[in-house]
Amino acid sequence: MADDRDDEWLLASLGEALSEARAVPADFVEAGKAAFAWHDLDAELAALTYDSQAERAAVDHEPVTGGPVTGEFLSGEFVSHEFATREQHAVLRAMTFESAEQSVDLEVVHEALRGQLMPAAPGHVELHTPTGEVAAFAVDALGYFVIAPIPSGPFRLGWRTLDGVAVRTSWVTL
Amino acid sequence: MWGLGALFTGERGPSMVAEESVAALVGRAGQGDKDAWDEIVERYSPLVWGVCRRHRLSRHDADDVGQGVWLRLVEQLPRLRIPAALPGWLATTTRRECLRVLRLKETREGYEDGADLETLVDGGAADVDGDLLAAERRLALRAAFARLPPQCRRLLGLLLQDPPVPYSRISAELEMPVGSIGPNRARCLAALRRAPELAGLIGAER
Repeated sequence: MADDRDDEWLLASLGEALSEARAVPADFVEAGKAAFAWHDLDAELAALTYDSQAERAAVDHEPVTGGPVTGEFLSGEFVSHEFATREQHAVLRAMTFESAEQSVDLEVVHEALRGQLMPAAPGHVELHTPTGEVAAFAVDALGYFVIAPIPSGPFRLGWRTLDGVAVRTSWVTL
Repeated sequence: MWGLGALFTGERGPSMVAEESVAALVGRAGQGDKDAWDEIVERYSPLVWGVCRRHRLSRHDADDVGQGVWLRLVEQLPRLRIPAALPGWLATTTRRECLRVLRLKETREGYEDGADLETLVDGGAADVDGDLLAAERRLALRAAFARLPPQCRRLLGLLLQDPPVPYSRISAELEMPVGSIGPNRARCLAALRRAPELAGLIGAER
């Protein structure tokens, strides 16, 4: 049989449980419910299988050994390769999304997102954001595309294969 | 006035319907059932929100994390291999998203209190288990409470108010003699304890 102490404890626990639920803002819950709009039974999901940032995070705490500084003289000024690359050409982050048959490589470069669909599926790649906005970017015959500017929040890409199968990447935030 | 006997005789009524298991909800939501999805979000938002609070995220960052977690779940619904493991998946995914947001902050703004992030990162794994156990217990308590007769819910609700409501007011509001409040409280708590949701949870802790 429960004694008074048990009752006190149970009532206090119930109080915590109820106030925990009350503390959650209603629009936090509503936003979670709204996410179901993205439920898509038909699309094939291309999941993240490689992310350079994940690799880097793993070695983040290891000391960086400095190599020799390389560079070249441009218009009489010595420009370190490191600097030039970092500013314009360097791939800041690389990712691969794959499903059984499809994949897309994404590279974040200076102010743009470069990608390639494999196999190539010329046409358009769609950029989806959680609010439902969609922007389309042209895909060339080799499957290359460029997205600019770089999406600031979470996004996913969608496209159709030559056979008409809809493919979506998982959500990603850069 | 409500009679004690009448309260606990019937096993009927909507509040007596057994709660749908999380695995069943995941299955239905995976088939496109929006009501099942809403129920999942209702049940587990406190868990997601609680993990965000413990990572001391701002409201804005917590919204970002919540969005990321639920979007990921929508995407993973058909692929969750052990649907009953959903709460664990949510706790882990939320924590991972919190750390991602905090790291981003650290990179972009220079986190003022670097030691805090280290503590969160290192001490976090154990927290997930603790979060999860406590969250599951509170979830079970809410489910058990929801199946109590309305009069019990009102009585316990009044007894839980802070600052405490005087017995004289409870008596007036519920049309219940002051002398019955104590025994009714015990009865309602006994009913709560008997709820199937709490089986195994309460005994294990005391």
